[in-house]
Amino acid sequence: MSEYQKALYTRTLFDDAIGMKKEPDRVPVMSNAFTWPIVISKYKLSEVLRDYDKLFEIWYGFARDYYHDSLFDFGWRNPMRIRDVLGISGDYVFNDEEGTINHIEKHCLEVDEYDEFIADPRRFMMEKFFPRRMTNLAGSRLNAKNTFVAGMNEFAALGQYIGKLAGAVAELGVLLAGGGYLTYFDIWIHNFRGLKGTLTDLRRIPDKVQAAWEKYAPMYEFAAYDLPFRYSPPPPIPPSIDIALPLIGSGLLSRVQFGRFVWPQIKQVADKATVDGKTIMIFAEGNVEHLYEYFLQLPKGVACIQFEKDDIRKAKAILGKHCCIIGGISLELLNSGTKEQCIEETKRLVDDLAPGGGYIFSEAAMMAFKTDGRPENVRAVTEYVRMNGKY
Amino acid sequence: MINVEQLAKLVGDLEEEQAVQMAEAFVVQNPSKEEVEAVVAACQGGMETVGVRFGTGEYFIGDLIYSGELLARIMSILKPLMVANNTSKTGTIVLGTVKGDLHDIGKNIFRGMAEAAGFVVHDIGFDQPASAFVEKVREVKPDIVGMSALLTLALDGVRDTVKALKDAGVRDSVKLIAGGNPITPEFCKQTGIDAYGGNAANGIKTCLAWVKK
Repeated sequence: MSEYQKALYTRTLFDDAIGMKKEPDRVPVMSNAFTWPIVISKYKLSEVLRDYDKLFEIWYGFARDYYHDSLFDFGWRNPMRIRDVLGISGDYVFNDEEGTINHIEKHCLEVDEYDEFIADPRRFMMEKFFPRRMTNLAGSRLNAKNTFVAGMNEFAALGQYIGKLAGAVAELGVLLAGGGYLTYFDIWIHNFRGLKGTLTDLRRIPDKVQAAWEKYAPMYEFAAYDLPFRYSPPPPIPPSIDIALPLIGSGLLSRVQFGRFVWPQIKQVADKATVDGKTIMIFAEGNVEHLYEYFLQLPKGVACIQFEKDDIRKAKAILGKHCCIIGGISLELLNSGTKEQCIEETKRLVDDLAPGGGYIFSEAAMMAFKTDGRPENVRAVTEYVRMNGKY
Repeated sequence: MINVEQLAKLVGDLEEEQAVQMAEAFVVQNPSKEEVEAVVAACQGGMETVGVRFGTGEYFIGDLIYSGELLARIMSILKPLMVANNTSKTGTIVLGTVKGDLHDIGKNIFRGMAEAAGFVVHDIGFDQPASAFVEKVREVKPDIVGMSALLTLALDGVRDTVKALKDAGVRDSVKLIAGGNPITPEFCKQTGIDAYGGNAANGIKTCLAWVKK
């Protein structure tokens, strides 16, 4: 098969699993590795995330030596070169010895600035948000222009790296996951108000938060959905899933808060994706069992949901006729179990979750640290699913 | 006199503005030490309700974080009276996130609830080496040391802290409690930690039981 045919075959595995009209040929395997392949390599984390040649070496090697059908992260989550150039600094703290990144919260909107933001969000973004968030944009107009151009060049360099990696791993039959789309709630936590600030605002000034998001929405929808998914030509190599939608903080919210502040946006993007023929992967951090009633309102056959702390068999039982389920093998087992124990557990997962389709195998949580799995175990379970997860 | 039952209910229901209004009206009435203690106890009762509702799944982590903010606001209103009346303290806790971990939200939830329960909390911050815990324990001689960790890798920091407290000869003078995503009852048992924190509300219950003995 040509590189393109291999890519299309893998895409079909994912489309069949998510579309739920028929069982795929076999259970697809999605990687949940983030910084793990880097921290078990000979390189330093802070070094690799700033070097696209080393990133390529790591992620191509990972795609070649393990048996996932798709990579979810492949270096896009921590684009350090872009961050460095724009001056998005101080909120990443590297520890190369341990192989960790700690994130420090940074606020770019004070609680008494909501009215100003709501009155003129574009002006606020240009005059306050960007200079605070991207400190290298502050200062003279010339400096801001030069920083902006340098930032665009770094975006282009990231794009080139992703294009090169997509082509190379497609020859192995491996696809990259598609572009990211965030909820306003998570954007607010990470860029505007921090976790505590956002959660407190939702209680103290809910109407203002909602008004701010309504004003922010048109700018974000254009940049994060319409431009990449409607107005841009499709990538030469198809992604495994079109839209990656992380739900980072939603597990912290009550059912009612999620229903008011987060769900309408997800429903809207799911409806748009249905019209546009796109698939969505919801990456749910924490436990989101209390939100299943909402997930049941997703259009059928358009989304898959990666679970981290939920009982995945229960999730499949409740949601399985409606949307595809991703997840399964625990990192604790991958790190401390024997190869045989890992394979036995994988067999149980496939036996329980695969029947009828609508299941994508994956590691149950983000693999970030050295202790998140032993390489031989990770390889054994992905190989098992490829060989035995056939319908 | 303030209706303490109503205040406890407002705190438990996370009705911040009404609870704050009650506290503000209370402090201008020149209350007695007993009345101040009754109001603090009402806040503790309200926080217990928050803990129970979290345990039953009615409240979520976001509600716990918010309850900590609500409580801190009420306590800041009551604090001058508590200091003036020398209101009795439940016990003393040294608290910190261990080395290698910069997360502090879980620690801060615990701190807010511990303060509400009447503990004096010495919060040494996040990414704290074992030596910082030892130093603070020697300085303030607490009843309890609380260690927080969110990252799996920070489990080493918890182990190191327990060992350093033992090596410094202060381990047996305190009770140890640990909490955070990767902490399990088994880990606590293996490491020689007296109690598994679980969620913040359960952790406070354990601490209260220790100091009441």
